[in-house]
Amino acid sequence: MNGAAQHGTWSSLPLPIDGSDEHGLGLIDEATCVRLLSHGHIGRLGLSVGSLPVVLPVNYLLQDHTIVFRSEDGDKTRAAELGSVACLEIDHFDLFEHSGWSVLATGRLSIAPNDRAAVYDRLPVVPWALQQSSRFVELSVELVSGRSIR
Amino acid sequence: MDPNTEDRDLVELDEDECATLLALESVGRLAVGDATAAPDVVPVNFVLRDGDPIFRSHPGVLLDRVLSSPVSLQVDRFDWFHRTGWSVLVHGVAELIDPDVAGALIEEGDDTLDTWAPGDQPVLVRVRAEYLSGRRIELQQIPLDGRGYL
Repeated sequence: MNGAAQHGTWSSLPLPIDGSDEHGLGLIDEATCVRLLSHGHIGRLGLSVGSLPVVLPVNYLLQDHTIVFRSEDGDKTRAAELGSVACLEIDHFDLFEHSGWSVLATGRLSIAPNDRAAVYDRLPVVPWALQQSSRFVELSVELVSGRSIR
Repeated sequence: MDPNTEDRDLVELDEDECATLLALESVGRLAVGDATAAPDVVPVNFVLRDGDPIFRSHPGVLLDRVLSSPVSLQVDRFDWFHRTGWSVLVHGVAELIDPDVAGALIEEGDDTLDTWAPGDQPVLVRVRAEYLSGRRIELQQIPLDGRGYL
């Protein structure tokens, strides 16, 4: 009897798995990683601040292989001005089934130029709270990888 | 759903609030530092012991990096309907728990120490928390005028 099929939770729907890594985690192929990224809304941005790792949630949108989010002036915009390497992690877990997946997209941060910012301004990429003016930050997706626990 | 961001406040959390929220969660995202590149961000399921997150792992490249550079563990929870939520970040240094102690803890059969990931996870790692930081998005209180709201 297939437990996952019985319960039928969304996260246990079969993702196309491309083999497994040396620890038995399922590898999610690149096309599926991009599809999952394009369906996500909240991701966790991982970046280095003062050479310490920091993880911050962002509301994002995937647009032409670029992750776009809005940010007030702070650690994220400073990293973007410096062109720092950063990553965005998205995941989904089933606390009952103890299953889930995560996708990591790595690339370089930059401040969106005015012409693209004007385009993004018409897209639904709105943070939930803003206290001051914000700018659009881009993360070019250069590497993606994903793992799943079934 | 109201896309307006102006009726929400972004509030910095103090360490006590962060500790309270951290204790609510069992899945976090571990960021492994690298001063020159993007941190790696991987989900872990963890429990708190004496205020420090501990999780199971296995020997390998990632564990070596976890033990040799600063780490952070991020947890969050979001309310998609109200577009509110919080995120807490534990900053610290990871260390191996003495293998005898770890073996005894795992053998005890404490199921909070079960790992979701497949394969042998013989190692216990503690994130010695140095400080906690976090933010919460909260809805501003809307004053009622006393005439009821139906």
